[in-house]
Amino acid sequence: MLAKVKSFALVGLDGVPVEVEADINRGMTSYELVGLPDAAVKESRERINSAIRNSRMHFPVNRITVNLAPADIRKEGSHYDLPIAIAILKASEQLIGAQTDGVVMLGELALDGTIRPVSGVLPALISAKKRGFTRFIIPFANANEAAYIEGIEVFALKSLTEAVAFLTGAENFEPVAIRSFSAVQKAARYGTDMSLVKGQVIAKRALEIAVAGGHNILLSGPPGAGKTMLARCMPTIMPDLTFEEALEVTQIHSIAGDLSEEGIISLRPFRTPHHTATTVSLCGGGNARIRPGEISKAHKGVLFLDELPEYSRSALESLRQPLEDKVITVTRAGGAVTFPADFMLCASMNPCPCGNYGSATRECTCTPAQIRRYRAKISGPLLDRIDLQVEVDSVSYDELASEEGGESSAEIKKRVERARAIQRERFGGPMTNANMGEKEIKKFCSLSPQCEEILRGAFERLSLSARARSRIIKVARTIADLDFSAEIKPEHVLEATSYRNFDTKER
Amino acid sequence: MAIKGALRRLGFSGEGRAARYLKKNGYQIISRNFRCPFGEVDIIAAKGDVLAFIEVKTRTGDAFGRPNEAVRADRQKRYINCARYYFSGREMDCVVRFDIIEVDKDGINHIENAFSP
Repeated sequence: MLAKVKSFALVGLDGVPVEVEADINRGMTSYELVGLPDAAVKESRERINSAIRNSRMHFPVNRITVNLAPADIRKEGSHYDLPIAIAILKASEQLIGAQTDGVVMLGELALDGTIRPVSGVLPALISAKKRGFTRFIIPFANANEAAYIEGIEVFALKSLTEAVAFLTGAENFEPVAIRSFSAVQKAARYGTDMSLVKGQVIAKRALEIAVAGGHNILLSGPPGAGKTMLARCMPTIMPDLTFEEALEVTQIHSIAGDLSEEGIISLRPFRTPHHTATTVSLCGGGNARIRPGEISKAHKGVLFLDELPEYSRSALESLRQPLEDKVITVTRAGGAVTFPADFMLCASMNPCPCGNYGSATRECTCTPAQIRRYRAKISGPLLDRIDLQVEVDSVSYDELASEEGGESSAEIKKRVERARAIQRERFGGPMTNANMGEKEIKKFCSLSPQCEEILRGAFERLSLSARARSRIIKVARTIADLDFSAEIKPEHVLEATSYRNFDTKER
Repeated sequence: MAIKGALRRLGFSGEGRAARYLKKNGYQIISRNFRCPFGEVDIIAAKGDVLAFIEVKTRTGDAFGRPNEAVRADRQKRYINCARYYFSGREMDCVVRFDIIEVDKDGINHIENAFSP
């Protein structure tokens, strides 16, 4: 007899419906699994065999053929165990009267029949919903991922026995209850706050500008000055994630398999890959199953690269394209997959190998050649994509000991949100100043003759590149937005020029 | 020669006990010591729509391991090939199963579907 059950395959973030067909025939006992399964799917036979027998049902001694259609998509992961088991039980006439039509099933089976959690449940649910599926069986441990999607009935079950009882109607189960995202988000807290950073007024201001306009930022300063601490505060002053953004971020982390208990990510991610990170770990990859890299995990959040010159050249260069496109396309033998990668880049570095170059208090012991070599590790094209380059000097003892904290993150966030609102209105969408092209710059950033004069002076004295000029104008636009100023004023241009630290220190 | 003869007698007695056991349990013995170019099948027996190819292993003690452990991959392959040979020219309208029957001094242990192709 033949039985069909629905499941889902994931290609990147996109789900494709998979029909699991089981056919049981007379003939020499065998078990044939076809339809491009990978190793984890092929091994399912032993798990399913034990799970069925340990659930007090009968694994048929017959000629069994299981097909996963469409046959041209690679089937990866362990979530086909449950649909295959159900298909086999149905084909061997052990599920009399079961309603399996239109029910999408995902789950790995343990030998005792327990349904184990799998990765990628959320993206599968979302794309299945888009295709009109409304009933799902998922592992109990993945229930939280389903709690934020309305309009579908998701049953989170613990074992194969429960799944059979549910399908035959022998027992009633409650679908996963919908939870409100805003409540979860309110309860979530970042571990740090801007008010905990002492001193560093200029750097804090630069971070505020960076976040307000979506600009990438480079913090340079001696060791121990507080670069890492400042960077960690960045997500705390970014606007809250909207529900749609949170879903997008959560989907990526669901595929990567590193979701926490809540089932949804409500805080902006802050990723700090170590400087030994490879191109693949940053951009995503993998042989059978293509997984998102750090830049995708930092989607809608901050990618913090500590000690920028220590990263391998190829890893850094691979960031250039996603910084422009906000997506990364990973191509492997198995196919091409596109992951979103809309992150803010925050990098930190020492100004020279000893770290004290440019410090007001300590002396640098490096030779000019050493410093040049150190800085040359960062390519011009990458540096060009970083709008703000800020010096972070060490803090004096008095500042450290003072009780007085600076502004709290909440206050800064309010200003950032106002500036972002202005930008949303200007571009008619969720675009930021940093993403402006030449056309938008011409349209929205007209400069008065006085501003033009200042910029010309800076351009000639600092021998800036054409691209540096448009970067300065964009940053000036953001500063003006923070200032509620419709036009860019001279002081905005002056401040923006001061954040081009690296251009001015060329020696 | 003497030892070999003793072993053969042991094997025959085991297969006899296994056949009696199968009959008692509702099997119909189709063939014993079915010979083909691939080797020999101890017992072919039928019950319902199942046709079982049965390897009988007889042991007097545990010194050489459990009887079923002696049925390794090459022996399994031999049985599967024998089954294919058996069905060449016959219609295969049944479920084909490969069983092992362990016979020792304590009694008989029938392992259904012990291996499959």
